[in-house]
Amino acid sequence: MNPALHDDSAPRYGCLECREDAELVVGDRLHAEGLARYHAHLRGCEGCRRAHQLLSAVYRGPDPGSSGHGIVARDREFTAILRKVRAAAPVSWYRQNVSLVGVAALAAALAWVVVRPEGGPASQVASRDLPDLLARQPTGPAAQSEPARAAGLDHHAQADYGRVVAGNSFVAEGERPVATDTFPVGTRFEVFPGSSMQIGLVGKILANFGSGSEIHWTRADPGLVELDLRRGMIAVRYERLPADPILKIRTPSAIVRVVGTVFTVEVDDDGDTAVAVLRGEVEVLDLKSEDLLAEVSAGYRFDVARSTYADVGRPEVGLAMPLSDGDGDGQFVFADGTIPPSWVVPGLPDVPGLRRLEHIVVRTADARPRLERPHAASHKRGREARGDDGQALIDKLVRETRASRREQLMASLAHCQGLYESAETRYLSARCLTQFMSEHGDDDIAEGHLLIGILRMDFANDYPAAKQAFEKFLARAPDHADVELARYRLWLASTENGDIHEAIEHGRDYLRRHPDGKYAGKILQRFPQLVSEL
Amino acid sequence: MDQALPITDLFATDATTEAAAPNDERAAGYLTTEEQLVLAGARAGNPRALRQFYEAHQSQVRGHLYRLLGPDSEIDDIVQTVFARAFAALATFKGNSALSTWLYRITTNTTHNLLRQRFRRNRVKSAFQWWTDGRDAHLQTGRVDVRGEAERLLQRLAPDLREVFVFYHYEGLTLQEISQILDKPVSTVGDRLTRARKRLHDLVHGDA
Repeated sequence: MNPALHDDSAPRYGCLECREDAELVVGDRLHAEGLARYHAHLRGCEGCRRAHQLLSAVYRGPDPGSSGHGIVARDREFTAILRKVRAAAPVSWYRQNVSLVGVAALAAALAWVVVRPEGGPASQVASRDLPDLLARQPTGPAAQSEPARAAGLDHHAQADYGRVVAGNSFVAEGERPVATDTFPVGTRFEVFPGSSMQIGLVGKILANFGSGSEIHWTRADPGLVELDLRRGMIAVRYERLPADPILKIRTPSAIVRVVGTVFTVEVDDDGDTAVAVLRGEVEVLDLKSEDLLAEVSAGYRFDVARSTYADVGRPEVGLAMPLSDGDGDGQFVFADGTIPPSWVVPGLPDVPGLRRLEHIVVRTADARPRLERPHAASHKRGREARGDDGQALIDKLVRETRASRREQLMASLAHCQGLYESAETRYLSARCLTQFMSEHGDDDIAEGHLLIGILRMDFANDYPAAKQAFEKFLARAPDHADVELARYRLWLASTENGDIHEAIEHGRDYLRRHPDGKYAGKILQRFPQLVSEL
Repeated sequence: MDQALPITDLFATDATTEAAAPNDERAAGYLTTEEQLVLAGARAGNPRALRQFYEAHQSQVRGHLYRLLGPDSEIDDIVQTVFARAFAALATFKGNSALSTWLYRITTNTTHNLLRQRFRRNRVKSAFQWWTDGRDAHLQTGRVDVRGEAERLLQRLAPDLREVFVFYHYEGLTLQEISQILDKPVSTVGDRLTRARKRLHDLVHGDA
């Protein structure tokens, strides 16, 4: 053995060795001794230090954090994606040859009519067109799909009007009190203390105004619906489709921008804003610059003045509960006082039986009293606007049942009546009435179908189910005293769902049958061209 | 103004119940219950489910494109194309992999030709730029410059090698997963990874 070789115990570590070890160092795979030699070499070699930095940067990769998108940008992107999907859809052969197919179909239809004039397709279509939508159960994926609903606000009859669904408050357009339950853009609401009010906007937005709130509906156009919350608290549910307008809520200190969710906004006595989200996500913007202040996710309550987050609490969920009807991720469920599984409420278990308001932990840190500002409502001139189409109806249902039915029916119906009478619990009566009608419904008490239709339309925005119920009522009781209301509601459901051609037909039908009807003015307000039908 | 989107029609070609049922059974092994629900809704054309699908995966797709292409004005367009293709192909998703793997595959197929075109077109230009940058390298010492230079180096990797390198080192996927995404044998993926590292080593140390 040559000792001279062993004297060279400190091996040479130059640029070549450094290069060979570079990947091992970057990958954190070099042993400690080699690492020490490597870094010692880097300290004295500018070129290798530079190469090390570069190699580290290559293996670290670019930082995609800066490529994130806000809610609105994502919303636009999603809309563009759906547009691309639609554009890329293959054109079916029958659409490519539509004229040929049309002629063939016409010839076939004529031939059939000639051969079988007594049968014809009409009777079969009529029976097929009336599936029992109210009996739908969420049994599988197909049942979970949402009813087809028109997107966008194409017609002023849908875009320019809102409706009082339940509750009462002072409602005024400018200084002029609104005399009916239909109101236009520019309407101001002042909810009486101890009361609440639910309204529907543009057929797609359901809002619940809390006690003592003051709200101004300032704008509605195809791209934007805007509310101005001056004080109090509102809960909103908006099942937005891609082409639907964005909703903005302005408060004295912030702007809340929404692309589809369930949330509440509160303005306290100092004008400070708090935004709580139960499902989805909203953006909170600076009032002046409209810069993004926060993105509030489901389960959080954002205090704008303090820039702090807290958990959603009982007051927010309580105010939003009237919006829970039909909010079951596309499943057709009736509200029964259970907090929907899609709402994120921290601390609340997933067990349906425990998802109730009383099981939400009460927030103790927030010592601020709820807004119950002394109100000058009693001094307001004008009438209280209230959605009361169904009140007389349910009273009549109770009277007729009492007169003609067994006593035991009364108990269950009285419970439904009790729920219906209060604006706070009216949303619960759909389930109650549906159960009652499924057990006891027949031709004598057809009003139940009409009531169920009204409730499905008002609280769940489930227009197909509502139209189904109205048609069922009209078919079962064509001579009933409330057919006028049913025909009006049928027209209204079509209008608010954006089915404008259908709405015009229903409006025309109503005006022909009831030229002096009490809803004729409302129909003509939205479709002035139908005046020729009178 | 858009009318109601006939999404259901778009998936009607393959979304028969008979075909979807076995897929759902297979998917159960790779997908969580929530993913299965979203997938079922999205296949049925439910807008909320489609939105949930998009929200759950858009950051993955966007991030991967950013890592693959660097800061690029076309990323948003490519994200749209990837999801449009994914939505149109939901009915054909067989459930033989995780949804993320399937989306990576669509993303790779969408970007591969683009990468190849750019690589060919910019080869000469990049070489010239690299020569210029290399000549001035002693003037550039900042962290931002290093990062920019690293991105430029990555662009000089051949598309096949770049994809594997990005999947392995940036996305943290295993060779097996990359093999599934690229539909190549694991040995090929491993070979490409080795070549990518060697090429980058040479580029960093100026041997290329």
